[in-house]
Amino acid sequence: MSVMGRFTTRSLKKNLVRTIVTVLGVALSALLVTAVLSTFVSLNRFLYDMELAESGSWEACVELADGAQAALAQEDGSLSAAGAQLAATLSDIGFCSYDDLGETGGNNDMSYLALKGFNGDVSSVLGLRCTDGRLPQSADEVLLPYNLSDENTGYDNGYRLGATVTLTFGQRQAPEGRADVGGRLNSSQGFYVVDANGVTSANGARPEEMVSETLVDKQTRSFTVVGFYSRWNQAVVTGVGWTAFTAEPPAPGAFTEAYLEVPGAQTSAEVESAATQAFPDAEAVQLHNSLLRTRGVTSQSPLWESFGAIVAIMAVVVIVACISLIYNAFNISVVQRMRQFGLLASIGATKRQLRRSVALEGAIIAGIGVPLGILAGLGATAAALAWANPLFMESVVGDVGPGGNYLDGLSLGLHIDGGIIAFAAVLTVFTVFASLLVPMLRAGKASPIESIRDTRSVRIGRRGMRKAAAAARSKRAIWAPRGFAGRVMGVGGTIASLNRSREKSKGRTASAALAVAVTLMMTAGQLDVTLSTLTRTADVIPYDFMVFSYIDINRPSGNGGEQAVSDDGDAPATADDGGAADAGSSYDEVIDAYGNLYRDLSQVEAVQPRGWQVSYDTAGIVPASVTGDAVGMVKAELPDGDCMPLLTVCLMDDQLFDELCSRVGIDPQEITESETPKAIGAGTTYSRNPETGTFSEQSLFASTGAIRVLQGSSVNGAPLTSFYFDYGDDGSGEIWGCSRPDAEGNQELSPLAEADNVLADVDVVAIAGKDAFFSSSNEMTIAMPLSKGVEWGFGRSFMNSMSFSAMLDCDHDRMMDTEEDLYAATNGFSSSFVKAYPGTYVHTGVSNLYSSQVSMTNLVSIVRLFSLLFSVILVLIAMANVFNTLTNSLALRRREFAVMQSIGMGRRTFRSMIAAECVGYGAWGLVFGVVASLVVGLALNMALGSTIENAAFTVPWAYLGLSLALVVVAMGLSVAWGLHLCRSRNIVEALRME
Amino acid sequence: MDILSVSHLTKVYGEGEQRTRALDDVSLSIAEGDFVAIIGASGSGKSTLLHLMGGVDRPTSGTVLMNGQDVYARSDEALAVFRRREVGLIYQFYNLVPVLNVEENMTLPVALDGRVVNDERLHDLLNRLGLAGKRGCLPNQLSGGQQQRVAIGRALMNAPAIVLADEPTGNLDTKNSREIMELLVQSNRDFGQTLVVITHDEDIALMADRVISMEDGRIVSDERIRR
Ligand SMILES: Nc1ncnc2c1ncn2[C@@H]1O[C@H](COP(=O)(O)OP(=O)(O)O)[C@@H](O)[C@H]1O
Ligand SMILES: [Mg+2]
Repeated sequence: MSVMGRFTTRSLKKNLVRTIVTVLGVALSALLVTAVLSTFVSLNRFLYDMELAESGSWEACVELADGAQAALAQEDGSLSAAGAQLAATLSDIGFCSYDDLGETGGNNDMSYLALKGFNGDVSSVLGLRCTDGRLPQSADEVLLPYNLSDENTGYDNGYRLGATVTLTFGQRQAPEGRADVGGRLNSSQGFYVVDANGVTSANGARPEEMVSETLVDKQTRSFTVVGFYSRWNQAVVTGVGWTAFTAEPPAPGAFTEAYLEVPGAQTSAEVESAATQAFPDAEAVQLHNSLLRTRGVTSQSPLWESFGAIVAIMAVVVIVACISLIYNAFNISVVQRMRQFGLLASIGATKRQLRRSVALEGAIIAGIGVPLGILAGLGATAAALAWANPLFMESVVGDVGPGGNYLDGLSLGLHIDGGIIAFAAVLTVFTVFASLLVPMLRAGKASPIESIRDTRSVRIGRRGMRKAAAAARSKRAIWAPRGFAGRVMGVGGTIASLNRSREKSKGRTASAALAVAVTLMMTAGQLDVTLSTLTRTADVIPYDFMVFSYIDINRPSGNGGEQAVSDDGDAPATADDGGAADAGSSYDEVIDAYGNLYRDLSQVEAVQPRGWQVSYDTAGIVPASVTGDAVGMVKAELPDGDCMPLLTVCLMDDQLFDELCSRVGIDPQEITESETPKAIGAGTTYSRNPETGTFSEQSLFASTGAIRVLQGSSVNGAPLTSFYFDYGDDGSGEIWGCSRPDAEGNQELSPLAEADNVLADVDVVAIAGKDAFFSSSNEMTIAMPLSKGVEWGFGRSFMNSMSFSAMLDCDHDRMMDTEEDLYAATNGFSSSFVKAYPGTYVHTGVSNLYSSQVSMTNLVSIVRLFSLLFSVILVLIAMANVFNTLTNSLALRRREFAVMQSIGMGRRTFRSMIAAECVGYGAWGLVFGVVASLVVGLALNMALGSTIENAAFTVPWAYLGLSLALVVVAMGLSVAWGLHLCRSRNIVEALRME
Repeated sequence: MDILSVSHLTKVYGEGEQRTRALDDVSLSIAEGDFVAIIGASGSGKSTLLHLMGGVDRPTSGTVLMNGQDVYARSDEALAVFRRREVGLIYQFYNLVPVLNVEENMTLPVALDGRVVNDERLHDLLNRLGLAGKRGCLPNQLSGGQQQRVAIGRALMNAPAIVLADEPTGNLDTKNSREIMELLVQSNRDFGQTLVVITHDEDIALMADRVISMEDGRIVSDERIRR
């Protein structure tokens, strides 16, 4: 080792505390960068793996009218020219009518079972996995949806593993006069129906309702059943229903989806252009955005952008913090040794040698600190991920339901990415040397004479001299108290003030270190506030289970197409006067049936019933004074300034209604004993603004008041039973109502304003906040007790759009069993109802809100943990920085302090001088720190602005207090250590010091 | 009458291998108004003795009596008060406070004592030290000789019982050295200011009333050459 090398290592050893703090600072920086990046990479890797498992590795899907194009593009090289690979194809073979599939148990909303041939590794490309059996390997094997299996339906159709089935399939022919797609329809298109007015819709409505498409060219083919799948996936669902798969390349002329991978693509636009370049004749191109996003191939998404912006801001904060810490440490170490450098220069050391000595110091510190930090960062991330894994799996994967086993073996683990480690290393080493640059230049400038003569520890500029001269000229007594510090703390304070006003740097380094500390701590706090705002977008659900049901009296169950139409004709119909009477009697029956269902549900073991309600959608006329801003999207303006919004009416049983009243703070009797209709309005809802895509708290009711609610409406004698909002071109719009289609599929359709309407006056006497109401809705909602609602005539005309929901709590230990019991109870209800009222359709469901809540809570804990770790490290960096700066600036002035003490400065005066100086640094540090952190806070807030509208920016006072406290602690510790170095016992030592 | 009396003073620095006996059972007395020079090789314990006499360090054993009172029986705080009232210290490297101007540096001990500066005395000192035009200057605007004058001014400002100077001219050229010594000797002659000066300079030692020479922490000779 050279002389300079030895000189450097010796000085590192001599200032062991400072060396250790500096190494720790470098290590912390490397740790933080590594931890942030590797958490991001690991999380992303997990999402990527999950997306792969869920929907495969395809990146673009190209729809081709003719399957031959796929093979052609491969042969003529246009695929490889575009840089794309054909990973798999799915091509239409035909469509099976459910009539031809045997008895399958009804409750089936699908129009057809599509029959498709696949080619390629569909398991990894499309994520097509079997629940039972295996994928087909030849054209005489078939993979069926599990819901068709005999095991599921309980019928004997031969849909089981190993059995041979004969499928009858045909081609879809568009309805007459609608041959604009060549007459034939493919699997990407929805079910075609044409109503009496010739309006076409492809909304998946059932064939018997209107003039519809037909199946032609029927033929049969036999297959061996080799497997079943049960998981929903993009590849298995078509425009008209589920799919049966066989292994067969695309036939010429068959509609085909070509699934592509574009290995070199950097952006989603590149993926798209590669796909269109390879297939210029494609009908449509679809991108696998959820996968591309996790691969870093960007795609628009407000939440994703917010997240990216937060990570970027945090990265900037971290890097600034690290540079400030390391820069300070090195700068101090060089300033402290300026005299030594001068001495070395005087005995012939060149500038290069001096600079190299400083660079060597940096290299030694980085050489120890960076690997240490990276290892610690990986370790900390691995530990945090290991802790988070079970919670994460529960919240992210827990809800996938049956068939979720495809995610088995997936776990959130540390993904070590060489690139990331290299990046963290390069970044921190770069930071070290960037911080070294100024000190290095300064070391090179050490002049022999100046530094040997110069025993001064502080630098004084012209201004300082001018001030000193002015002080001598002034009439003031020499030691009259100066500055605030002088007035409060006597001579010590006065000396501190003089020091501050005459010294060149004015303690800038210390103030800067404190400012950075305050900024870091406040930013950590702001991050916490921000994240909790983000996670608050999820509603808090005040009960564990919701069981819902929907009964369609007029709609036949089962799949007998032709027969169903004639049934429909006989069923209590819609368009005549008799229908209304029938609807009236059915209404009471349905309400009774729901009451019975609720009773059954209440009797399930370990369930605590909370109440039930029925609700339906209608419209209302609301005075401007009562309408909240949020209704703006879906209300029709009326000439007199009132408006007509869509309105949900909830009729609650007494228990639920009483609870609502007590939450809102009114006496239920105010409504239950009223002669005229009164209700509670649901005031706010937290929802996505459809125009901007951001979340915000939206107020639906501006105030209480009288409104009018549509009790019934008809056009040409036909009752209008469902309503929708029709957006005009200019953003305004109006509400339309439609009647149920009659036997011929004819349907009345009319703007509500032109219909014959019956309106009821309702007095909205209170408004329930978001937390008080039981569910959130995008529409104005009014709640009234069921008994009174029935009496006042609500709901009678809208029976067919009315849905039931029961709110239940349960023992959380018995969650799973309770869920099954609730399913059993609802299934029992629907089968007995269908038996009692043949030809009805009953839809039921159970949602376990408690487990979604748990998932959300888990997610919040994970996010909190990571932000906490981040904050702790930031705080450590900040404290190390303050410590380093203050102790060093004190140590640097040891000799000066020793002189003061030797000529009789007592310990108390000394302490008050140091304290006054620190308060000075602290005050400025605080001012700059608070300003800087407000800027960072605003930036964070703006980053979130794309997701959350009304996340108002607030000064985090608690964190300001906390950072103040921590800054005081850091200052206290460093001053204590600094004073320890300057203890009066060491005066002689300090005086002997050169 | 003895203003200062030192008996059996021993000072040991460090521990184990590093252990140095800087002062080994030293006893001496200094009479009021005396000018004493201490000479000796480097490392012989001169500075240590001076510091112990000035209440800057604490001895390992032995006592220092100033005006009959035990200096080291005092608390640290009282010791600081003692230093600013009874002692004037002058060092080789002037050791001025860099942010204080000439008059502030000179009056710092008065300020530390919480007393009001005697302007008359300040002006008198500034004039005698030839610093009248430099009152508002900061130390880095002064030459070495001027800085040492400020240090002398600071030592004399409180009219201390004793002035202790550790190689006050060690860093100055001959002309400046002579001027500085003349100032010190003058204060000794004119005001009877007791003065102890450590020096390597034989000429300076010969100006003293009494010369003490030291070796390895002990006094090896103590000669009165005047009075
Ligand atoms: N603070 C100290 N720590 C350790 N050793 C010291 C200290 N002060 C003085 N010494 C040692 O004590 C001895 C006497 O030093 P000093 O009184 O400064 O000598 P002089 O002033 O005569 O040159 C020397 O060997 C020196 O190394
Ligand atoms: Mg000495």
